[in-house]
Amino acid sequence: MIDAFIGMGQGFLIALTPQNLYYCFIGCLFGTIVGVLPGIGPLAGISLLLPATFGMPPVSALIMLAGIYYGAMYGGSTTSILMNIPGEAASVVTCIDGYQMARKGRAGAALFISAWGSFIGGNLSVLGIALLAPALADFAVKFGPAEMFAIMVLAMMLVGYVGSGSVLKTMCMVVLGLFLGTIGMDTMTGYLRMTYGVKELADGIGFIPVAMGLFGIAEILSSTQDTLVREVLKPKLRELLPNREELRRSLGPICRGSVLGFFIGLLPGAAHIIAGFASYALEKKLAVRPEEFGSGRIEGVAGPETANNAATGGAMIPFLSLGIPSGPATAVMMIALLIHGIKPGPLLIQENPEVFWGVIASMYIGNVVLLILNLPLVGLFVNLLRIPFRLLFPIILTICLIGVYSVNASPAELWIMLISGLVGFVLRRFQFDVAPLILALIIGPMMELAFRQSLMMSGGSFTVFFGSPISVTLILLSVLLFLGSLVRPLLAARSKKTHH
Amino acid sequence: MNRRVLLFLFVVLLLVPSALVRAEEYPARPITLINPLPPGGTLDLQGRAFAAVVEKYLGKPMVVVNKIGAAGAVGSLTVAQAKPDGYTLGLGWSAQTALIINEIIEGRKPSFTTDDFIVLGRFTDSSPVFLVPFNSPWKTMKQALEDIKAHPNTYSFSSGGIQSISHLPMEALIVEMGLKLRHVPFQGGGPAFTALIGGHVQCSAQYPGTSLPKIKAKQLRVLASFSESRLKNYEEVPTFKELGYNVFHSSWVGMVAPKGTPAPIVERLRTLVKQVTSDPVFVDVIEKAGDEVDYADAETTRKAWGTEYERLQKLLSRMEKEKKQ
Repeated sequence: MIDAFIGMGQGFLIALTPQNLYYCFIGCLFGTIVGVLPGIGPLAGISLLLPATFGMPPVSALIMLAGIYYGAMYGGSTTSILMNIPGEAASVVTCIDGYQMARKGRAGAALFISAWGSFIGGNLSVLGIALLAPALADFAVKFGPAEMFAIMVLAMMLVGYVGSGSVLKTMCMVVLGLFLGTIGMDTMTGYLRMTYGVKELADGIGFIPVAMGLFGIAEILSSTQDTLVREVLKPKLRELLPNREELRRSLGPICRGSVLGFFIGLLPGAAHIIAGFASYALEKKLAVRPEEFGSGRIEGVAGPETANNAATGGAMIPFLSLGIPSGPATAVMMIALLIHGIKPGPLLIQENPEVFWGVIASMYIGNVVLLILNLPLVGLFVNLLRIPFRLLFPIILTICLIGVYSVNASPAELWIMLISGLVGFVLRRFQFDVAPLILALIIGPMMELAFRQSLMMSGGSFTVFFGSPISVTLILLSVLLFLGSLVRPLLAARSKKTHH
Repeated sequence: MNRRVLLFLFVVLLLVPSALVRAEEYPARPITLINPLPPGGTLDLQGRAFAAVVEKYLGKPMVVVNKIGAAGAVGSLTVAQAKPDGYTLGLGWSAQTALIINEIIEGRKPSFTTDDFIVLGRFTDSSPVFLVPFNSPWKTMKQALEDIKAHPNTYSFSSGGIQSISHLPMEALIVEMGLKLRHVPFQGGGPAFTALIGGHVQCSAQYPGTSLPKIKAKQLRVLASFSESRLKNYEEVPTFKELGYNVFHSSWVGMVAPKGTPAPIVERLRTLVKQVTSDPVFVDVIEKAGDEVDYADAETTRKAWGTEYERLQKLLSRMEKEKKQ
């Protein structure tokens, strides 16, 4: 523990030099822009700036690139709240309640709480890293396919909580999402499933085009059903800030989101997205009036936004402590380290402590920088909403198209987005909630892969899922959740009967 | 002549200079290097390290773009179909060959073949090593093989994906030694490593660069290498051939251009590969990553590619036969 404090001290000394502060700022700024622009994620930003780092000292390079990474997490919520377009994969959840808050004129409050939640989540996760990095790295390694499957099962249990509306409709969406997730090349066998010879589908239906279509494009299409003239509120400063009630109600979600997000971030894969959904589901479960979720509850913004920033910190741990990237963005950061002559890996903290601690300290500073960057921008962003909708829609549409194309330069993805938009529009008319679809689309393939990998390892024996305390605990939790959701309405019905 | 005609002539004159700018010196703008595999892997590292140094020799930067999909098929196809003007190049690597062979085995016409590319040169030619978790009961390769043979279908190995560069060497071992070992594919080298370190699988074939830090940190041990001769940094590790097993695998990474790229540009690029691969910055990055630069010129690479094609074809056909049994 003492080592950690000494290390942090050393790290701050490095991170607080004017040069590194400057690079941190640039990274965060770039990251925010990248995050705000829908479609382009931190990976693209990091790849773009990588060549620029070649002349820089390794610590500075990593500070800048890491700044992009979590800057994007901050920025991603902006378009989610303002335009119902997920600016970044993890911000999908924020769209659900954040956008509704904006429609009610509470956009400023949502953005503000989102920035603060991100700040707190980010900081707590940095603290977590500093104190727990070595222990957590060991923990991360214990997650094999069986444990991953158990987590995915638990995550699927949460899907039900995310949806609003009838159970049947939610199930339809989940099944549709699971189906869409099967399209593409199967990791276990290499076979192409349901691609019908369309080469672009070989990698499956991308989550980003679908999310942007189902949320953003569908929103635009739906709005054409309303009169094109929407009342434009001129926001007063008071309206920009959250009121006391909102602040009070955000406190719990932020605390819970930080812890939840941090631990989920340790897991490889699409951890950020799951962190957001998990937090949303948790808040909905704990709330007094869960039916209001989906129509603009601040908890639905505070929790997820905190969680996905906390997950960013968690995701840096396998990278910093084990040298194993938890996703493409951290993978490119690893390359950046290699290009600078630093070997990432378990010995990084010993061989190059200045890099290890310098980066961690800069994450803390980055959080501060981002808060300072984002808060004043709230007013600016909210003013964007004052653009007449008939002008705003084409702009949003263009940004979406550019954003999706910028990820993989694939025309097929543009089509996927547009078709998803149409589908999303139809679904909305019939009052289907699309969030469970997205969640199933992400979790389904991961769950299936983990399931089959586990069975492959055990030769077909299902005991593999009960082989470790982690997986047993998670499975038990899932079963309990499931039973709980069955029992609750039964109990409620019974109490109604006894009252008569 | 009235004003209108003068104005017209003036405008035409303005257009003339642009017509004269036909003959451009190559390169006149940045070059795109397509990496068909996901970011963060060996190809990505070498591609980006290469691109980092290019501007010094060519005067214009090279930008790496990941165009992933179908284990590298999408990106490879993009390069094969790109305009052959020298501004779109691609990375070539051994598993790419496997993609082509596989299509043929499955009875489909491959969407691209090795003839669609002009070889520019090779960066590295690495062989993987056979790794086990640190606490594994297997202390020598002989012990491991005996144990695996004694308990067929009990043990498993991790790889970065079907027919990836970490899958093929293990298959070479399995086919040669008649082993019954289970294959658990993951999405990329990272998860494959994690599974091995955590002891969820019993072995894996990974490359020297990414393995070295984990070996030094006592998370993994190496029992043998798939190379012809002992590897640098792994001098105490015997090769399979030394131990008496006819198992060999190597995986090369190099650069290719689409067929039809004009000869002078190809020459310039071939020289570039030679220059960059001897550049100290590039060499340093590769070596820090635990690998060795092994430059080979276009002809040698093309020949080696042909040999590898045959070797992989034999391997993949045998794998297909085994599958059908």
